[in-house]
Amino acid sequence: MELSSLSIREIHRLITKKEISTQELVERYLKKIEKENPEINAFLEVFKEESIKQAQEIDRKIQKGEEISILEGIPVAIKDNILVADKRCTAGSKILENYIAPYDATVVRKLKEKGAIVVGKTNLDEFAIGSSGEFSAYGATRNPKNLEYVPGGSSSGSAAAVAANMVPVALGSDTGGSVRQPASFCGIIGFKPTYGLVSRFGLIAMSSSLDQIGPLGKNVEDVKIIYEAIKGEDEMDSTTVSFLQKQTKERLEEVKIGIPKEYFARGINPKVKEIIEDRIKDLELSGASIEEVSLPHTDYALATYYIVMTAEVSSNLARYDGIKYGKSLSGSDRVQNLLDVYLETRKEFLGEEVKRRIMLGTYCLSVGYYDAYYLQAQKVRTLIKEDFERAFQKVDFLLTPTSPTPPFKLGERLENPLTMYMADILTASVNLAGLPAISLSAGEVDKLPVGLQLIGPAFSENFLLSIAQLAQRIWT
Amino acid sequence: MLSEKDVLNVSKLARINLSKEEKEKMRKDLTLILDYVAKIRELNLKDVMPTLHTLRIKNKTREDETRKQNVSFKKKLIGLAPQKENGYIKIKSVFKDR
Repeated sequence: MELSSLSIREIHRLITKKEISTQELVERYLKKIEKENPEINAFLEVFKEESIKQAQEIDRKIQKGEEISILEGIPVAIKDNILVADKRCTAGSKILENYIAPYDATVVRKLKEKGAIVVGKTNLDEFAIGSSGEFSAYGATRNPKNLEYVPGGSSSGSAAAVAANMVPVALGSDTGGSVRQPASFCGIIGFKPTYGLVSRFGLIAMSSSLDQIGPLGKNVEDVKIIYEAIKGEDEMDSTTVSFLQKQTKERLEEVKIGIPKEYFARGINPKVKEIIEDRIKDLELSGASIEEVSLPHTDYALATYYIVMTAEVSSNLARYDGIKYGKSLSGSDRVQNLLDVYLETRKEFLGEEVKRRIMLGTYCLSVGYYDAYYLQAQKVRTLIKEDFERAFQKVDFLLTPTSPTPPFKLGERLENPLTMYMADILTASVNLAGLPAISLSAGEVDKLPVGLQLIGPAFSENFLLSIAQLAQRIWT
Repeated sequence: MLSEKDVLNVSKLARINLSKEEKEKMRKDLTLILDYVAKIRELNLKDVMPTLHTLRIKNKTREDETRKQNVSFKKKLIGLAPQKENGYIKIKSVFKDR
């Protein structure tokens, strides 16, 4: 039995048929973590004993002949900006090094209630701010496909853990591509649901009008099972809704896929472009109709994203002030008054990139610049959203590369912040418009994974996931 | 190019003290990023409404009533504060004459 080939459904079959015990299965994953994690640095913490104990309980249920549900005994990793009760939650930051989560995030509670085993917390760029995993205060995560390369970010640990078979599935969060882009870099699948369909209660907020929790896995069905387990309206997150469009088309022959020409323009690595075009041809041969479309404001999307996101970051991260929780210099000689506590605590415990984004967001919201930057960006956001709405009047889905390049080398983009920001150029508009999108594995360039992004209209997840499943079947 | 004064002003507003080296690097980086994002200013958006939120939903409110929490949960929350006393979070005094 190879861990790499195990889907949730296969694990469920193996443990219910008693071909392997849940304990044995969980121990095999834990061993894999023990062996690989020192090099990959995907996990910040692993809950070994509790995981084994929980597995034993499920085995007792199976022994007694009780039925178990599909998620029972499935090991899941959780990005360390999502709260797991009574466990440390650092968000990849020094400022939360000593923070113990007082409650479960809604998504974690739902997974636990369905019997999934939370085996550990995964590494991330500090406060989910970054596109390579290198901005974690606890060391960079490495790409399991090639240790010299970044795994993408900010859900770097979750993507690497799944790709290295340390867990079958994991949760991440996606503000401008943080689930899809690392999935693409690690050769796995990452799904960002429509804004509002999954509760963010217990997710450490980065940019509240953009943040969304989503699953990562090795096949579309696994990702779908996790998504269905965590979705739904939640009274603790007032932005959640429960609404889904009806799926009207079942077969690829009925589906119209739009290719936004702006996403294949300059800046796309030619080899990435070639692979995506091959996959488009595959879909066409399988009966899907392909049509070129235009999203005319694409060129403004990244700039818009970096204004809206940093503005919200500056506001959300104001809570790390050394007063309510986390590390603080309030008792130190360095501070004389309350203002000093804020100024010095944040100087000491926040990382460079986080400071940069707080500063940028503060600037864009400050007197004299608000209209020129923040308000202007929110208006461009309307145009970007309307571009998508117009395109979806003509086609069912849009298909693009997930990232303009294959994974880059560790350290390669640390010097110039703008080159790092470019990694989000094909994913961020989706968050600005609140749409669902999935990154599927499309192939490899020089033995490095390349991902493909399918974007759907708001609330089209059922349709999107079933088409993604059909597409993945064609390609593998 | 942002001035040193600009950076100092923003760092005050953002409640982050910066070292001398950080200030210089920040000035350079913020200028670079602002030059890039300024491209949205070339669009004429006089009649465009801003999108603050992608879902067109109404505010959801709940009853204005106290919710009972058990004492141990309250202790847990207060316990996370760096400085506390008698079940309260402790901060430096905010009035000058104290």
